[in-house]
Amino acid sequence: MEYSLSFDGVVFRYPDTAEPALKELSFKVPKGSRTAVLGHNGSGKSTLFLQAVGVLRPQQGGITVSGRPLVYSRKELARLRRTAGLVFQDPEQQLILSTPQDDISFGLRGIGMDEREIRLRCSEVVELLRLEEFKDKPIHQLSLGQKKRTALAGVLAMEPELILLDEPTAYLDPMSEAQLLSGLENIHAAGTTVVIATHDMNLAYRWADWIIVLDRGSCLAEGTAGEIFGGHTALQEAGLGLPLLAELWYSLPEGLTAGYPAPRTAGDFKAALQQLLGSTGSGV
Amino acid sequence: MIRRIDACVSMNALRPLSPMWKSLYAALMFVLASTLHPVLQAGITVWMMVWCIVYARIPLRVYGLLSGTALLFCVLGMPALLLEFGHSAGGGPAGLVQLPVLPVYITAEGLQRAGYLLARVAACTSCFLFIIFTTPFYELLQVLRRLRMPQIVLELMLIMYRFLFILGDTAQGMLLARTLRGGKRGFRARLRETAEMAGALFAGTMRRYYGLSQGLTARGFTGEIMLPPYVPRQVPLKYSLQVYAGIVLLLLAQWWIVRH
Repeated sequence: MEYSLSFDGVVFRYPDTAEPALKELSFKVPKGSRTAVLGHNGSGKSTLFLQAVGVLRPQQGGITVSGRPLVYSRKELARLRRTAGLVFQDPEQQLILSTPQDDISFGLRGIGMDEREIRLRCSEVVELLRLEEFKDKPIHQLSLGQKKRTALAGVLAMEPELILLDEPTAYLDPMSEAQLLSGLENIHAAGTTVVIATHDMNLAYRWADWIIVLDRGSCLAEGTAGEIFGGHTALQEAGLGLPLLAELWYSLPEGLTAGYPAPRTAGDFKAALQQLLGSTGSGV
Repeated sequence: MIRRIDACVSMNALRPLSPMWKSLYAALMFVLASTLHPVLQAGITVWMMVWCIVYARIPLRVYGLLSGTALLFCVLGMPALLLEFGHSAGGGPAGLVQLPVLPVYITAEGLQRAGYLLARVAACTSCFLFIIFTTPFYELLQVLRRLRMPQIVLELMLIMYRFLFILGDTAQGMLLARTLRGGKRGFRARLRETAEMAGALFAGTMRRYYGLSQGLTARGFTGEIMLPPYVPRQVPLKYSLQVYAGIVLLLLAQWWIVRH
């Protein structure tokens, strides 16, 4: 199996803190996967992401991005910016220029791309994430959802192989969340590895196919969504609890659900229930 | 206020016009406003107001508020020009207030000087307002870049502009939270609270600064913020003709005034 990102025994401690933020952290993110990093506030999710894009440097251990060990030279870091992109939880942290249209092209101009190519890339990203209606508005006039999509567009324009999103749906209303997730779906369909950090278990359950559970800077478990949510000991240990659908599914009598994969969406759940009850002779 | 201005700028009807053309026009009018006769300066004020209110469709209230605030500073400085204490050194006194200790005069020359100054300030301010209301900030940056303004200055202006709104939001949030929580009563308590808020705002600014620097690094900041290039735009003939005709008319009027 090929991996887009792997951490091997990474240790990192912020200056003036007693506890390390990451404690010998090791995990792997399969290439082309939709990965969710689960953990409470302060479990090290954001620190992990900053390490993955070379903003922070581990004090011990190594990081590999798209098969290349991370080297902190100017040239290698410039290459890394084109391979891995990070979307911050607070979009204000990364929106620099005055309008979405200009901001999207920030990174492209930084690498000296031709203006015609920049315009082409920008229009592709604007279309993909549906930013047409506000692409020329000043950034400070945008809603949070629009700002988040603009921040994602800026990262996406660099055409990275790996995109990391820190709490992408935090503070978003259901409509903005749906728009963002639809954008992520398109990005993933184009072959990009997408990693999100979240403590929204319902989102992780219905969206991710690979899960990493973090607790106080250590990786408690990693595996497919079925393995993690099915076993759910790591989630209990991290105090995260189960998503609603999984909780409902696993509360059904074991004999009834045996052999059936756990449903990931409400539609799947309904279909599975109809099938189960149909096989036992009842109707829904 | 800055938010209202910004909203007006983004919706103004002259936005599609070339920012370079608007900047050059405003600069030229500024030069004329500083040099022509006061009557013509008043004409310039009205003309620039027409550009903003009629052509750019800036609400009169917003224009009046900003223009009034700017002129208020000038008016507040007027007493220094108008009033003379003690015995009049020259010129006929236009008014006289006899205080117990010393007389206070308003001279005719003082009044005339204040009037000329006000006309000039109003005309120059109206040129600035034209640029402020019709040209978005980032387009102004492009113009300045074209005029070879140092990159570091442009970057500083850009970051400050972004931070103005972020800080404004933070300060507004803190003020609202204080109001909702009742705040403190009394002048001294209010002063202490304001100082605490300023401290918290500073801490917030530093946090924002740290976050932004991380964001810049993550996006491949190479030590220079590359601004989008200036793209020339057309100016409709009706506007160009009006500008040329207006300037010629102003110059002719000045020539006539000087001759007579």
